[in-house]
Amino acid sequence: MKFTLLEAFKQWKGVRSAAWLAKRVPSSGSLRLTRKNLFILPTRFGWGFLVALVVMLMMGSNYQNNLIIALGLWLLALWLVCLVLCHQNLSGNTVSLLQRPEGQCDKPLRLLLNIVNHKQPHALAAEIKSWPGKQAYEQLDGQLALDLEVKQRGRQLLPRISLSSVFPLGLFRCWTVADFNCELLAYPAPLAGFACPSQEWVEAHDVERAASDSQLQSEFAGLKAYRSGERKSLLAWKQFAAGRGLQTKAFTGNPSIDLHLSDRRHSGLNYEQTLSVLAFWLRQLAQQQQSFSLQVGAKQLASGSGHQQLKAGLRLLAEAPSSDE
Amino acid sequence: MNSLNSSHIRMSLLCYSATALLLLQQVPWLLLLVGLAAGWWRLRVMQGLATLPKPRWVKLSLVLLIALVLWLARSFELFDKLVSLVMLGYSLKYIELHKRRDVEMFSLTGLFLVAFSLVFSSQPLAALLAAIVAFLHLLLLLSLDVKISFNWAKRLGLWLLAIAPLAIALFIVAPRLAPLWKMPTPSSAQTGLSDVVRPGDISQLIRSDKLMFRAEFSRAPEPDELYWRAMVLDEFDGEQWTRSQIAQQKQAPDSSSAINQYQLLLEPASQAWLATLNPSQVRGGGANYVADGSWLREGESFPRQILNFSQLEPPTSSAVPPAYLHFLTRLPQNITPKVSELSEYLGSGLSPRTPDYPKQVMASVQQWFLSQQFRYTLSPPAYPGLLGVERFLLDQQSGFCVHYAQSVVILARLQGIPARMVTGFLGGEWEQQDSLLAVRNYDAHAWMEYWDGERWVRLDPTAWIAPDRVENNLQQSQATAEQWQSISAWSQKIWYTQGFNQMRLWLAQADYWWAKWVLNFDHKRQLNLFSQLLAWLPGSSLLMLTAGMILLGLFATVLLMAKPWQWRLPNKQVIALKWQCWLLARRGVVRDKGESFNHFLKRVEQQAPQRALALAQAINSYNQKRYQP
Repeated sequence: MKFTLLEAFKQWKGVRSAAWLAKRVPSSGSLRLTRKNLFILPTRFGWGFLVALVVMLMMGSNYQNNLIIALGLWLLALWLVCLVLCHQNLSGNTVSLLQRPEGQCDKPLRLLLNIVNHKQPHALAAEIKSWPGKQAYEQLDGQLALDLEVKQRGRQLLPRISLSSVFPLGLFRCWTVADFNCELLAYPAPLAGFACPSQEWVEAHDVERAASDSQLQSEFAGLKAYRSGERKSLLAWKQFAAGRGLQTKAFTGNPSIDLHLSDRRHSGLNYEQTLSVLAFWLRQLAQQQQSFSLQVGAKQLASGSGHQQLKAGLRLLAEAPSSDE
Repeated sequence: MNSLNSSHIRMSLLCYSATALLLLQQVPWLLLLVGLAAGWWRLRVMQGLATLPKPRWVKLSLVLLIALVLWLARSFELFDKLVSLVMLGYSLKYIELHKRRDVEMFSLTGLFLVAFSLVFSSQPLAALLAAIVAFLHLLLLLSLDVKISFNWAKRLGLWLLAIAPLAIALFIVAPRLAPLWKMPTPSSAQTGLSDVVRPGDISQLIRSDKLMFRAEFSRAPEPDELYWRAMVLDEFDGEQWTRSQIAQQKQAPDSSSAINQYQLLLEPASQAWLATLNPSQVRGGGANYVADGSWLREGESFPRQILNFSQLEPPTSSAVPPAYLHFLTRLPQNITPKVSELSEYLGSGLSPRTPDYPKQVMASVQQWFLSQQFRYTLSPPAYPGLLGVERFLLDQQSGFCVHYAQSVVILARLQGIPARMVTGFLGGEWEQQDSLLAVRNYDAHAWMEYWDGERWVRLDPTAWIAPDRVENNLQQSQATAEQWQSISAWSQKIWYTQGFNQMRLWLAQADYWWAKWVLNFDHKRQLNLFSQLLAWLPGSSLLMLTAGMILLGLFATVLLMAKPWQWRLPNKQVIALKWQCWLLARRGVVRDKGESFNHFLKRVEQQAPQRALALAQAINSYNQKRYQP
C-alpha cells in the first residue's frame, strides 16, 4: 500500500513537473537560453564549499585571526560571483538540434546540438535524465554531440535533453531542459551470417531461368571462378552448396541485377531477427551499388540503389510494425 | 568531465608543493616527502608507467602513516598535530585522485591548510604567499572545466580582483565575534626575553632582528625615556635571576597625571610580559598590573594585539612593604670574599644612617667603575655563578649589559640597599619620525633599580661604560656596530646596510599598516569606523549603513565584472537608423537577416512609401559616417 502510494506520488510529481516545464520551457526547434528557461542551484560541492567557509570563518573568529576571516569572506564573495558567472556562461546561447537523429540500434545514436552565440559556453554537458541506456557527450567546436545507446528499433519521441554547465569552479550548476519536439529513428541492428532474403526468391528459379527472367535487364553469361573482391551478390550459391567451389554469375550489359527483398522469414529466425538480417543486406547491397526493392509488411519500396535507397529502406525497416500486430 | 588527465595531476602536484612550502615549519618534513612521493607515483600511474596499489595496502599504509605522523608530531601542540593529520589526508588524497569529486576535496583541503598557515604567521609576506597558494588551488578547480592556460590564470586573477570591493565590504561589516569556544593554541613559539635570566642570555637575543612590538606615540618622547621595562628579576640564587612570587601579585597601579600617550602594537608572543615605559597606565584594558610595577597581558594566548597606555609622571614617593624591601637585599650566602672586600671598600666612609646613603653608594660604585678598564662587548666570556661575578668585576672587566646590571645589583645589596635587576628593551628604531618606534629582539637590554628610601631609581650601569650604546642602537653605535656585524648572520648584515635601509623601512611601514588595519580590525575598531561614518552621514541607521556598504561593494564588483568602460556606445546615425527600422517594423515591414539596406529600402518604397524618405536619409547619413571619413 505504502509502496503504491509512493509510486503514485512520484507519478503525480512527475506529471506536475512535466506540466510546469512544458509551460516554462515549451518545446520548439531551437531554444534561446534566457533567464526564463535557465535554472541554477549550487552543486553538492557548492554546498560543501559554503559549509567549509562557515567553518573557516568560525576558525577565524575563534583565533581572532582577521586574515582567516578575510580569506573566508573573499571566498564567499567568489562563491556569490560564481553564481553570476555560471549563469552568464549559458545565458544568451541558442541551442538547436542539427538534424533528425537516426541510427542503428547497436551503435550509439549521435545527436548533434548546434550552439550559436558570440561566445562559446564552457564545459557544457548534455544528458537525458530518463534515458534507459548509456549516454555520453562530447563538446565539439560550436557543437555538442550526445551519443545515446538505443535498445529498441523504431520511432521514439526524443525526451527533454538537459544541458548544463558547472563552469566555473564547479560551485553552481546552471541547466535547462530543452524539448526539441523531435523524433529519433532507430534502425534494426544488422545481423550478419544469414543469406539474403532475396536469395531464396532467386533460388526458387534456376540460375539459368533467372538469367532469362524479364526482370533482369542484362544477360546471363555463365559462371566463372570467383576472385576476391568481386560482388558477393553475384555468387552462385547453389553451385557452391553443391561443392563446386566459389563461382560468380557473369552478366553482360548492366552489371546490376534488381533484387527484390522482402521480410519473409528465414527458418529459425523471428521477425525482429529477420529485419536485422535485412538491415545487414541492405547495407551490403547499397555498398555494392546493387539496386534493390524492398517489401516490409504492407509497405513497398520501389527499386533503386545508392545511399538514398539505403536510408529509405532502413527507415522502412525501422518503422515496420512488430509482428504481433 | 569526469576523468582526470595527467595535467590535473601536475597541477595538483604544484598545489601540493606550494602548500608544503607554506607549512614547512609546522609539519614533520617526512610527511611532506610522503605527499611528494604519492603525487609522483600518481603521475606515473596516469602516464601508464605504474599501477595503483590494492585497496587493502592503501588502508594498511594509511594506518601506519597516521601512527607515524602522530609519533613524529608527539612533541607538538594539539593544533600542530591536527594540522599534520590534515596534511596527511591531503598527501594521501593523491592516491585516489580519480574523479572530479576527489579534486574538489583536494582543493578544499588545500584551502583549509592555507587558513591553518595563517594561524601560524600573519606577516604580509606570509599572507601574500598564502594568497598565491589559495589562487593555485582555485586554478586547479578551474582546470576541471577548462584547459588551463596563462589566459585562464589571468582571467581567474581578474575575477578575484574584481570581487575585491565586495570582499572588502563584507570584511568591514561582518560582525567580529568573540571566540565561540577555546581552540588549541598553535606552537608559534616566540623567542624573546625569558622569565629566567642567566648572565649571557641577552647576548643571544641580539643576534635576532625579530620584531617584538611597535609603539606609536602621540607626542615624541625624550630619548632617555625609552627604557621599555618588561620584567623585574629580583631573586638571585647564585646562578640565575628569577621573578619572586611576591612581586607577581596583581595590584592596582599608582595613579598620577599622564604626560604622554602611546599605543603598543604587539607581535604574537608566547609569554605574557609587556614592555612598557615606567610608570604607565593601561587604557581600555587588556593588561594587568603586578606588584613589581610591570604589566602582563591578559588571556591565555597572545596574538598580534594593540594596547593603549598613558605614560605617567614619575611619582615622588611610593609605598613599598618593608618586608619586600628587606627581601630585595638578600643574596646567596657564598658571595666570594673578594667581592665582599670590594663592596666594603666602596662603602667605606659612608654612613648608612644618612638619607642620601643609597645615592652616595651608587655614586661611589660609578666612580669605581669609571676608574677601572671596563669594556662593553657583545661577545663576552662566560661568567658562570658567583665566581663569575668576581672574575667579571676584578679580572676580565669586559661584559654585556646583564653583567653590569647584575654586578651593580649585587654590590648594592651587599651594602644593604634594596635593588633589583630589570630586563626589557632600550630605544628602538624610528619608522616614522618621532611617532612610530619599532623594537626588535636586538634592542633587548638589562639595567637595575634601587630604592633610595622614597622611590625606585632607575640606573643603567652600561651607560657609564658605553654611553654611545645607550644613545644609539647596536648597528649605529660606534662601539658595537663592528661587533654586531661580526656576530650576526650574513643575511642580516646585507639587510641592515645603507642600500637596503630605505626599503627595509618601507616594508616595515607596510607591515605596520597591515597590522593596524587588517590584523587588528576588531570589534572596537569596527564600531569606531561605523560611528565615524554615522557622524559623517547623519540620519542613517547602523543597519542602513551596513546594507549600504554591502550594496556599494556589490555595485563596485558588478562594475568591475561588466567593464562598462569597454562598451562602445552606438553613434547617433546608428541610433537613427535603428529607430527607422523599429518604426517600420511596427507597420509590419521587417528587415530580414542579411538583407542589405538598399534592398530593404526598395522593399519599403513599395510597401510603405510614406516612410521611405526618412529611411533613405537615415541610410545616407549612416553611410556617410561609416564610409566617408
